[in-house]
Amino acid sequence: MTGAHMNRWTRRSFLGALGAGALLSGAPMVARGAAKGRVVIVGGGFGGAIAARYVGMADPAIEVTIIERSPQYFTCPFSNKVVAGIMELDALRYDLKAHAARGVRVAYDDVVAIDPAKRSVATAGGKQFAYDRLILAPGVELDYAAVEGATAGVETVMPHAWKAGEQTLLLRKQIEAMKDGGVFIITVPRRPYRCPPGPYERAALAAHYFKRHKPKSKVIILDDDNTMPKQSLFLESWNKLYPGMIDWVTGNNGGKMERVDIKRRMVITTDADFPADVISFVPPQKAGAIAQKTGLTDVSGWCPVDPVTLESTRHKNIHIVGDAAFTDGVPKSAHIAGAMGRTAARAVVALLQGKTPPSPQYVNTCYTLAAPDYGFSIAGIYEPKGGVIAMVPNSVTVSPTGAPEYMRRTEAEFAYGWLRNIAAEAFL
Amino acid sequence: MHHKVAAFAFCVAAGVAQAADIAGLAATCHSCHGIDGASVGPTMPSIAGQNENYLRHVMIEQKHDQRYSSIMGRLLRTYSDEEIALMARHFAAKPWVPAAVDADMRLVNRGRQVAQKTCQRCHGATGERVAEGTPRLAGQWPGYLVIESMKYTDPTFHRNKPSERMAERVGNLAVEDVQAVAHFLGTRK
Repeated sequence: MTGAHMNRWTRRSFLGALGAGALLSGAPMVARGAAKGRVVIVGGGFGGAIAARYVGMADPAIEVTIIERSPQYFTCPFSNKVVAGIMELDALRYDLKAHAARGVRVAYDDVVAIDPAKRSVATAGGKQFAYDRLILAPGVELDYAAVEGATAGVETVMPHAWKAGEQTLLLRKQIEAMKDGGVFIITVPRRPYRCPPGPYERAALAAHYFKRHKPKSKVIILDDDNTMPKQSLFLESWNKLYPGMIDWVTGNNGGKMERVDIKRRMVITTDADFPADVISFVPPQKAGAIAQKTGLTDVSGWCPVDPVTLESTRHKNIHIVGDAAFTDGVPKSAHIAGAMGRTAARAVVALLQGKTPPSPQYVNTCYTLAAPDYGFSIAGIYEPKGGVIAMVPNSVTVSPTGAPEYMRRTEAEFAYGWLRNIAAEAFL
Repeated sequence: MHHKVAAFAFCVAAGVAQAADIAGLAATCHSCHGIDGASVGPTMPSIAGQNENYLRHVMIEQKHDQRYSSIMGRLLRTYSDEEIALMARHFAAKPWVPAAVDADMRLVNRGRQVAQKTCQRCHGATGERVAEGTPRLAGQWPGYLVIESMKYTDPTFHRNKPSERMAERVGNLAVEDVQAVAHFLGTRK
């Protein structure tokens, strides 16, 4: 936190501590809040940060607050390159300073409770934030409780590396310390989960590392499912780049994980025990804990939303963006999180201005790297239809198989251009 | 092509009421091409302030798979030509923001020489010229200019060459010359 933010928040927490913020925080603030509205955004990842950006662009008079746990953010996109030792984690580091410089109130704090009736958010730091509209972007909770044997500390032995940062570095360290001829396992949890092609990309980029440094090693994918996204593209790339190195064990063939054994460093599936030297255990996922606690989730573990405004169908005035939203077939990608951030921003601004929210389109773009110079992609368009967010017919497409080297290489280059632009949209 | 342009002009006039929707539609481009189309990603082209005719023409070619693109053509196929025309108009009206690239004088000098021989006649001395179907190159991202040029020089690229004139002029350039000229043009303002 910089000095400037500290001052702002010291002032606010002082007022908050008096318990009379509305009375004392100065007439201008109340007047402005009353006139234009207060938007509180919980979670400063792609969805939350992009939402903040677009609320500010649409109506600078709206008071925007972002509450985010961590003062620095590492993008999940491209973190598999860090795992494979071909990119440094620092290249993926972003923060919310640019938002603060534009006048967004940024609080580094942990949200512990949301009161939908009082429209108020409480933090671990003891502050209260009143809102007219809340945009909730809590990301995913890793559901270790759903897997037998996944006791406390499992991620220090079997890194998920599904939230970029320390975990990414830990997995990289383990892979770098692995012996030649070792076995690396990645588990694919039941759907839906964050970043559908991510596990398979991780397998490929780990294989890229092994091919260069430990060529006798094996990669095993233990998959809950029987198909994978971009399947023909992945299979083609593995055959071409890493023949014989990657085993994909589908759910029907014994890939379904039943429990993990931390001591013996082993994944036990419905059919067999899979011991390994390094295990990236990616557990099943659900909406971030605060969404569950607030009663915003349904039996699926995700948050049902209105497809036009992303407002929760459980609680009024709370809009859910990013991975936490229940969106059926819409992939949980950074690109979709950004599209939701823009959608929620437009809806919130319209509603605060007494206008009808426009009907959105959610465009997805997702690049995958099978090697640093070998990329391919999926793209698709989704829009509200029949009360859900539905795929626009014929809009979901993948790169062609059998494509020449030029296309694979340039898609890898476009992937990096994409990362820089979406990260700038969110954080710069 | 000419009657097509006239048809667009008509549709654009009729589409004024949709302006707000087009802004929402156009925002779906930002995550790849930058806010308002001003890219900060070294391989993604800026589309803000680009030649409207060129943008529309290229997108329609991409949509119909007459011009190779990685994702653009696939995304565009569910949009009408009218929507594409409105998006082209939307981004063309935004200010051009030159790429933020530090000039390497050795590359700039080599690139300037290549540009004089190869590009100047159509694109102007610094790639600043905009004509009917000619895009602005001055200040475009060099990484993107290389990717686009490699469609004419990379032996593994077997698809239709987007422009015959470009194929004639760029087709025989060495990779180093492509990189130098892209750097020269990309570091112009």
